Order: sequence, then C-alpha cells, then structure tokens
Amino acid sequence: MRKSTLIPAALLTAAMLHAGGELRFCVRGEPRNLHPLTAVDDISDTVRYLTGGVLIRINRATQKAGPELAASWSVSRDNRSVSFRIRPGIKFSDGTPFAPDDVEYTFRQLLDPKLQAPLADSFRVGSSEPTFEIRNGAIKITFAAPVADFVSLFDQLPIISAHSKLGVKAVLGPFMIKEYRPGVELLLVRNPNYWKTDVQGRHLPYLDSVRLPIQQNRETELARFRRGDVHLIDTIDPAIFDELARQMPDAVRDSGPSLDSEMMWVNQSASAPLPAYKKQWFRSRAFRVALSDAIRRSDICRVVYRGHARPAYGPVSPSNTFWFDQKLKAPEFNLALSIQELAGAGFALHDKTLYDAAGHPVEFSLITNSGNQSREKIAAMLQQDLSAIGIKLNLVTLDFKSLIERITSSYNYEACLLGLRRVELDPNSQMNVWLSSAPNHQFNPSQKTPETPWEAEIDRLMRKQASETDRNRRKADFDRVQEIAAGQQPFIYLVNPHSLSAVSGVLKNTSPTPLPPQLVWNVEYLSVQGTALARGF
Amino acid sequence: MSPLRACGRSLSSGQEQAKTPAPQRRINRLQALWSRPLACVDFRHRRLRITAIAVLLLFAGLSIGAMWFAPDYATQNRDCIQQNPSWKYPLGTDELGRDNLSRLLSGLRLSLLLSTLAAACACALALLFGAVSGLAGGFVETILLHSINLVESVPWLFLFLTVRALLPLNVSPSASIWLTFALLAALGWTHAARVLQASVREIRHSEALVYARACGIAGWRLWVYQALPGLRRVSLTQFTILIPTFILAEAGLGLLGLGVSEPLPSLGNLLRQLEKPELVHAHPLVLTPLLVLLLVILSLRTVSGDLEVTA
Repeated sequence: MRKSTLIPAALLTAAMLHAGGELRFCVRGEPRNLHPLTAVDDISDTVRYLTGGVLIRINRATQKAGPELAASWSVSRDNRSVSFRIRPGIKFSDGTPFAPDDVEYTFRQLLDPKLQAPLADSFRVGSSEPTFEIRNGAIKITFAAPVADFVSLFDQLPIISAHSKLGVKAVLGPFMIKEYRPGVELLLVRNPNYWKTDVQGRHLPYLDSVRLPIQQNRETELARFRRGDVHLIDTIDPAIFDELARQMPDAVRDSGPSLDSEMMWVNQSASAPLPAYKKQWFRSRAFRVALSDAIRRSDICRVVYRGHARPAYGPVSPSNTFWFDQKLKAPEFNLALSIQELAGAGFALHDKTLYDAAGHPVEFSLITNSGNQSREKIAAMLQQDLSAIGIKLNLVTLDFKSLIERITSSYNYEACLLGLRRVELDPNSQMNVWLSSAPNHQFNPSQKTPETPWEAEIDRLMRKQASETDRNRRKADFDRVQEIAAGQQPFIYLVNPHSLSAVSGVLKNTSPTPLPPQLVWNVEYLSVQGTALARGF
Repeated sequence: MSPLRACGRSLSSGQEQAKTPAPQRRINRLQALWSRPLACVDFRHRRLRITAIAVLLLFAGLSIGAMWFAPDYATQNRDCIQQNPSWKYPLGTDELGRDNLSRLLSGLRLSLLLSTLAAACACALALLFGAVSGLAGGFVETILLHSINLVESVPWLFLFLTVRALLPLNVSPSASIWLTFALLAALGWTHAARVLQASVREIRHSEALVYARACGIAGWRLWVYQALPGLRRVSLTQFTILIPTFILAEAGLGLLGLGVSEPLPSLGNLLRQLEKPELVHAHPLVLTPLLVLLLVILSLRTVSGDLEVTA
C-alpha cells in the first residue's frame, strides 16, 4: 500500500523536473568557434550564452546587473579592482567543484596572447598583468589601470574550469554541448549540475535539450516554424512579420526598437581622394544638418519597415533605457529649415539644382552593400528626399568586401549608408567609434589629433566617462556626447528597426526583449509543453 | 467495304478512343502532326515567326509609347505603396509607391535598346576577331584563339564585380545602365567569335572563293565582295542570339543588386520583387515583368532560331 502511493508521487516529481522537452530554433550559419573565450560571431555568442556560467548577468528585461556565480561583488573607487564573493557549492557539468581559482585560471587563459580572445583587449589595461588575491571563498582582481564598465564585461566572460579533465567542455551554464554536426545542427543538453532553482525550489533549466538546426535560408526557416519544427524565429523581416501576424496573430512579437540603427555619413577624411570643394561641403556642419533635416524618417519607418521601426535620435537606441538621452530632440523633417541652413552656408538653389558658393552643382554618390533590399529601398528614398533640396544623389551598390575596403582603407567614397548592430548597452562599447584616433571613427578615421573642436570635446568626454565610477556622472558625460553628435550630425542616424520575432504557442515563459539573445535570454525558465510551468523569474 | 464492317470499325475505333487515356491521345495527335507534309510545318513555323515578330514589335511600340503615356517611373508616391491596379496605376504600384506600368515599360525599353546595342558591339568585336584569325590562320589564329579561351575562362561575374568596384562611383543612373551593357558586350563576344572564325575558315577554302580567284578577283575586293556577304547570315544569327543573352545577364545582375542604379528601372531590378514570396502571394501582378521577359526571350529565340535554320 505504502509502495503504491510512493511510486506515482516519484513519477510525478520526475515529470515535474523533466517536463521541459526540447527547444528547437534555427541558427543561420556555422559557429566559427565553440571555445567559450573566443566566440566572435552571433552563433558562437548564442552558444556561449546558453552554456557558459558568468559571475554577473545583465537581466535583458530590466537591463540591470544581477549576481550569478558571484553571490555579491564590489568595485573599488578607482575602478582598478573588483572583488567577487563566490557562491558556494556550485559544480561544473562534469561534477568538478567551482572555486575562486577557476576565475583566476579563466583570466589567465583569456589574457594569453596565443588565444587571441576578443574580450581580452578590454581587460588589457596598463603595462602589467592583473593580480589575484583569493581569500575565504572570495577573489579580488586588481588591474594596473582603471577598467571601464566591469559589469558588462563580466556578463560576457564565461568561467572555465582549472581542474576538470574535460577542459572547456565542462560548463557552469544551464546547458552543455552534446553534439555538433557541421552543416546540420548543434545539440545542447541540460547541465545536470546547474546550480539555479526556481522560486518553488525546482531545478533549472526546465528544458531537457536545445537543438539548433543550421539553416541559412529564411524561407525554409519560416516553413519549419509554420510546421512546428522550430519554436521561435528572431530578427524577422517586417513584410514576413506582417504576413505571419495575419496567419498566426498569437505567435508574433514586436519588442519595440532594437539596439541596431541604420545610418548614413559623408566622408570627412582629409586623405580621401575627393575634390577639395566636396570635402568642404562634407566638413560643413550646416550641410550635414541640412541633409538630416531633409530626410523623411517617418516615411522610411512606414514604407520600408511597415511601421516596425522608429526614427533614430542618435547613437543610442531608446530601448537602451539608461544611456539614452531623453533630452534629445526627435529628428523632424523640415524642408524650409534645411534650405535655410544651406543658404546660410553659401549654397543656393536654382532650377531645382543646388549650387555651392563657387558654382559647383551639388552631386555626390552614396554607396551601400548590394543584396540588402531594405537598405537599397532606404537609399532610393534618400535620393528622392535630397532631390527636394536640389541635391543629386547617385546610388551605387557594391559587394560588401569592396565597400569595406573603400570605407576603411582607400577612403575613396563620398557618402555611405550602412547599419550598425549593437549588442552592448554601455557607452564604452562605442569608444572605438567616437574617439577621433579610432579606425572605426568612420566619417574621419585614425586622426593623429582631433581635427575639429567638437571631436576634441567628444574625445575628452568619452575618456572621462570611461574613468568615472559614478554611473550618473558617466551618463551626464555621455548625454553631452549624444547632444554634440545630434548638433554636428557626423553620422546621420535614420531609423532604429524594431526587434521582431515569432514564438510558437507550445513554448512557455518567453519574454522577448530587444537585447540579444532576444528570445532565449531566460532559457532556464523556458519549457515546451502543453501546460506552462510557473514563472520563476 | 460493307456498311456493317464500316460501322463495326467505327464502333471499335470509338471504343478504342474511349479506352485510350487522355495523355496518350495527345501524344497520338502530336505524332499525327509531325507526320503531316513539310509544307504544313513550314506554314506553322512561319506563323510562329510572324507572331514572335509581332510580339516584339508590340513591346517595342509600347515601351517607346510609354515615354508619352507613362513617363514617370521615378516618383515615389509614398501614400500609395503596393496599390492594386486602378485607372491611375493600371499595374498597381511597387513597394515605394512608383507606377509599375511605367517602370515595366521604361525598363523594357532600356533593356531592349541597350541589349541590342551591346549585341551589335559584341558582334562587331567577334567579327573582327573571327575574321582576322580565320583569314590569317597559323600563328595569328592560334594566338587569337588562345586569347578567346582566356576571356572565356575568366569567371565573368567576379570580373564584373571587380570592374564595377574599380570604376568611379559618381556615375549617373543613365551612365550606370550604359556601363552595365558595355561590360556585358566586352565580356560576351567570345562564343560569337568562335562561330564566325569557323565560318571564315570555311569560306576561305570554299569553291566559291576558288572560282572568284580564278576569275581574277584578288586582294581586298575578294574579301569584301565575295567573303563578307557569306558571313552576313551567321553574324545576324549571332546578333539575335546575343540580344536575349544580354537581357538575361542584366536580369541576373539586377537580381544580385549589381545592375542598373536606382531610380532607373530595368527588367533585372524589376525582377528583384520576386525574391519575396509573400509579395508574390499578396500581389500576383509583380509577376508581370517575368511574363514580359519570358515572352520577349521566347520571341527573340524564335526569330534567331529561324535565322539559324535558314543560315
């Protein structure tokens, strides 16, 4: 009698513990690298997120950092050292205990020049290696110079084991790699030693496995989603999103503006092989502002993105709630103001053609990459918008390699239209764009000394915010950078496309966000089944 | 034959017909058609050729007429995107609110005109190479044939990408379309050159030329008055073969986004709308450029095939 009551109870418990099933979603290519410290592409990043355990995790919904493997942490006032109190009793997927020396080992591996880990550069500050002090389950890491933005850096740093025989295959994240079949799929299975539990004390993750079929063709991916072969799709094209919304209204999710933006810029590089009068146009603030004022951004949102985009304000998307400068004025189409700006700078409009003070008709080319239909449509719209102020814009689509060669090496171009993909919230991730000495300062890269006072001011503010510890003071500095960028328009930001996704009805507990990985950021709590498990986050 | 027997035969043949499956009946009818006298086939062939020429003339007329009745292919009416057909827009509007009819006819005009010009240039180049190598023979012929082999071995798409990347960026849309077809002509003459070179060689050893020589005709007169007329048909055939080839090549480049620049339309960039199946589903009229392209290519092939047979 006693036996007969115990068995169903045990079965029920087992069912509750393993009721998650298998999550399937497509990745659009091969992962370049499955080493957790050297992930460079989106797919490797996703695998790293699903398998790696980190000390601090940024909650993608609230955009606030929270403790993960570290029970708590503190940063010194001079931003040179950080101390972590390690959560006790955690084990790697193979059963090896997790200890503070694993953190030290991870750092030493990361900073090994042979590994060429992309994240290492952010930690390579000063002339000497960091020092480590381990005491009573805590570790203090001291760097030779201040490190900017510890929190978001540690969000990307998976801890690897110093003692496991499996090496980097032993993980602390919710899943571990079971099988990788190149060109076919990646299979991740739940980590039996994952440390997290939900509010009811149940072991996480709910899912048994995550299967990632490698599928480059978006149409096939969509067909598989419709058939129920895969449970979610992210970054959907707006036209397909609208079609899905008609067919499966409960499946689609518009999470609002993403961190990405589409933008154009004119070439201000002194070494560009362009006529002097054109360089003079492009270096004129009034000219750039007039271009910006003449663009109908709301039309781009409506026509190209079918309403699933928002006019871009500046270098930070409004979805980046903390760093976005609320004081920035929304960009508005204003033809009269545009013509007024141009007139003030010596330009004159005759017979629907704009002439500069020396009598040159204003005509320049805009390059963009071929094959991206949305971008080509934006370019065609810019062509018509700028013709209203007498500017003749010639559109040129180039293969991506040629385009990159022109904007990074020969500087033989006049204007460029490209998109910017952002994955990080912190302004330090934009240092390589805003510092005038940076090679990615696209409108005028690799300057020895800032060529304009406003670029010098941006350099000063970016460096200052990077060495600040107080978040609000950093925000004040970066707000000023955003205001200067809005006033000078070195990059003419056009739109922030929305983050569009589709989620199958059988997948429970999803909470899409604009931040990557948009749909699986809370993978521990996802389950594929008929009845949803209680939300535990 | 007795009436009963005739009746029996007709009955049995009717029953056989009823038993024969429909596809087999169609095959039988086709076989019967093939077994008809040659004159009948010739008549049908002629009718097909006349239809093809009529189709080409109709499209040429419409595309030229569009300069007056539907000239505005560039203006984006952003409040009327992807409109269904109406009096104002008989073929609806595209994703940027531009008149589909105007874009189709203007694109067709440009594609037909420039592919014809490009084919003429390619034929002239092919004739030059073919004639020189065919006439000179020996070492010159070997060198020229190797140079043709060299051009043919170049992956033309990558060459096109490279040349396009090296050219100045600030070219107007109308210059871009000229450039596209000029590059196609520069890369697409080799096959015609081989055919013409073989023809020249054949003419050089022909009895007609021997007879002309025997009659005392020599030097340039021999080649201009006796040999070149013999090449006219072959050149014309190659010319008509190259026109659809260039139209299709431009369409292919347009599909890759490397052809004619916006806002100029061409058959290639109009076909790019077909990349989106959801658009085809919602607006089947986006298939019109494909239908027009098929009709034009079929008509051109029919005309060129006819010339080839006659040659």
